Amino acid sequence: MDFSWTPEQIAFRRRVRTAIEEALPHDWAEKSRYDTSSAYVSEFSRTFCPRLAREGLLIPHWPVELGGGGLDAFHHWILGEEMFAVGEPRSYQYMNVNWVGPAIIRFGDDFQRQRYISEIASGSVIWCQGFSEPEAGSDLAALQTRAERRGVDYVLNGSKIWTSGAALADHCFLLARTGEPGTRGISVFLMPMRTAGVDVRVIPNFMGQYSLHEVFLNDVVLPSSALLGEENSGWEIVRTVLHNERIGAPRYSLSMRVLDHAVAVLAARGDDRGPARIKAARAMAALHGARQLALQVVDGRVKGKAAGGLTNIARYALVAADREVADFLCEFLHDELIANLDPLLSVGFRRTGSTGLAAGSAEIQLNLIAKHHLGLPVLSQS
Amino acid sequence: MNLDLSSDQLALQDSVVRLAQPFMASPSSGVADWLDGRPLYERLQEAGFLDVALTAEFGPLGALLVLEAISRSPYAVPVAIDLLVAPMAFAEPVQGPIALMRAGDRVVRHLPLARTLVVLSAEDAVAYATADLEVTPVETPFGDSHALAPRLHRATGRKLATTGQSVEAWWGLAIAAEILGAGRAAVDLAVGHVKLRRQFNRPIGSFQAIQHRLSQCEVAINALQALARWAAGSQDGQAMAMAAAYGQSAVEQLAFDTQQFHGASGLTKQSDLHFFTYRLRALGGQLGGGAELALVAAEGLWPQARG
Ligand SMILES: Cc1cc2nc3c(=O)[nH]c(=O)nc-3n(C[C@H](O)[C@H](O)[C@H](O)COP(=O)(O)OP(=O)(O)OC[C@H]3O[C@@H](n4cnc5c(N)ncnc54)[C@H](O)[C@@H]3O)c2cc1C
Repeated sequence: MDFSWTPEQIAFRRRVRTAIEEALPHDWAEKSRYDTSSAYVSEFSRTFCPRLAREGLLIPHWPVELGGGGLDAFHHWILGEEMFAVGEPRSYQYMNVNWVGPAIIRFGDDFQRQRYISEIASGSVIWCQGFSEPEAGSDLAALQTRAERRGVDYVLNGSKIWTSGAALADHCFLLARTGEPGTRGISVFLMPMRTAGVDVRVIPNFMGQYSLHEVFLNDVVLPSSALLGEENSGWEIVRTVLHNERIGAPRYSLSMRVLDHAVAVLAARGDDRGPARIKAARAMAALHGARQLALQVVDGRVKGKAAGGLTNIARYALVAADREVADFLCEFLHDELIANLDPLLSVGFRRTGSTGLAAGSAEIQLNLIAKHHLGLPVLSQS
Repeated sequence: MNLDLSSDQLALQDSVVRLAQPFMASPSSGVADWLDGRPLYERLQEAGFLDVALTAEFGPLGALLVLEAISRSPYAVPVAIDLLVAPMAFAEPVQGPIALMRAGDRVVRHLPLARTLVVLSAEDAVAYATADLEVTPVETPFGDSHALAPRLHRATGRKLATTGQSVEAWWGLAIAAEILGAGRAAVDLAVGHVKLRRQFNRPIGSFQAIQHRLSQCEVAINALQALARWAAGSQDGQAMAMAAAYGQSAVEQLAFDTQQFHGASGLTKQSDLHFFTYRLRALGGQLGGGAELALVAAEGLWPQARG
């Protein structure tokens, strides 16, 4: 066991930090309000990501043959920690480099790779994830959006919900039913958002400007070249590429920064008394616990080990820690939160709301831990 | 960064588990409130485990791994201070088993089993041979042997030179490791129990209310283990303080839920559970308790200028 970063990893973190410092404008906090989903940040990403690409920091963990740097998963994670700590200036392009690109590389044909990969690697496109539906949330396999073959094309009908960044996106990584009910009848489609019959509506929400949408599909015609992999292999594709994403983004890195900032705000006005410090320190300890568990998952990836139950444990630890952060902020920075004048505090609170839902809900994680880790008997629930 | 135990560390873990095997369950469903673990202490000493922290290949992380494993035993094994605190914080050898208290504490864990009592005050650490003390054991269900704080004659004590990080920092980490071991054992017992016990024609472990709370216990155990190993491996004072604070705040959940899911049997001496639940509660209040240790962690994270 060795808890130290290698000199190379330390240097890499420094490079990422410098790149961020050089690229973000001095008024980043006010302009972005750390809202990954805002029009401002997504536009920013369209110049920031190409810049990262030029500096070799957009896809450092991709294979060298595909323009990547061939670096291991720890570098990928370091990159994520640093980006998330400043409100993710890559906007939703982080999904491209984390899993959309890798999925297309792995399951796509030559045409699809040519069409999409260089675009992603240059940092100029935004993808969204069209999985959830009104009747298929935690029970994703119940999704109903249909794709029917008509000649050489597919015709899609149905609706998606909670789609992040849909109004900003160029393409959608979409799940639709092509076969029987359940997991074996689902396929992945790579859908340009500007296709006739695609209608996007923003859902007003507390997460961010373009965080949540409904996407309606009315007789959307896609060529068969939009199908990724085999027909009805969608569930397998999603499992393969998304199992790495289950611990999600390194959300704790922003939460840690928020806690440091919050204690400094309290100290500046002489209010950093015992009860506040106790609660803040507990939250910080929980965040560090979550981080160490996430790093164990990443360590497993580096060694090519199967993800296993640890992913769910790490994820739930993060949910619990983020909840402590939210509780602390509400109790001790009540006035600042309500006044809404401190972007870092505001986002720190806001983001904790979604930790237990996005990328698989907290209760689903607990179900999975009970089943796979504790070996408890499962009757009929998830 | 490499977060797997090395083959040497795995071998260390393995050998301590084998050595402690006869002590991993109580001899019979008994009536004892605590079980004398000195025979295990002696075996550990003979086999050289007590010196692990000072070896170049293992260091304090090795000592932590040993303590984690031993703390799964229902026996009262007075080894935590010997393993992790004495080698890291005392500059000279101290005869074990060692009991440790803060000046002002009214009861002392393991004192009836100890050869040396170390008393910690704001100024110093003083060691007393227990043979010279009048030790009054207390009758208590809290999983280990305890005694009232003895009357001390300063002149009979030996002032210890301490080193580096404070004694309390390593003590806190030792508490975290013991909570980890006892918590692991308690959760394992509870998981085993809810798989077997049936009500409403199904194992109670199939009820989601129970599953979720045990899964949460499992998360707490894993997070505590990750924190404690990180703290021991990096010898980082902030990490040690956070591990201790996290461990003590996890006690409430671990002790309550594992006992609760045993139903009425959790309130009896029928199984070994009580050793762990009561010991967890005792550990949760050491060194001032979870809130106090969180304050210590806060001071490391966000130092306050003292006026
Ligand atoms: C900020 C944000 C961004 C998102 N972005 C996207 C996106 O880009 N694309 C996309 O496809 N989706 C996205 N989602 C949707 C997300 O994946 C779903 O919210 C999630 O899967 C939960 O589904 P649901 O909201 O329908 O809740 P439900 O499934 O209805 O769950 C409601 C509650 O019931 C509990 N529950 C459900 N089933 C069980 C069970 N078996 N046992 C115990 N409890 C259960 C849940 O844990 C939860 O507490 C996003 C969500 C959020 C919050």
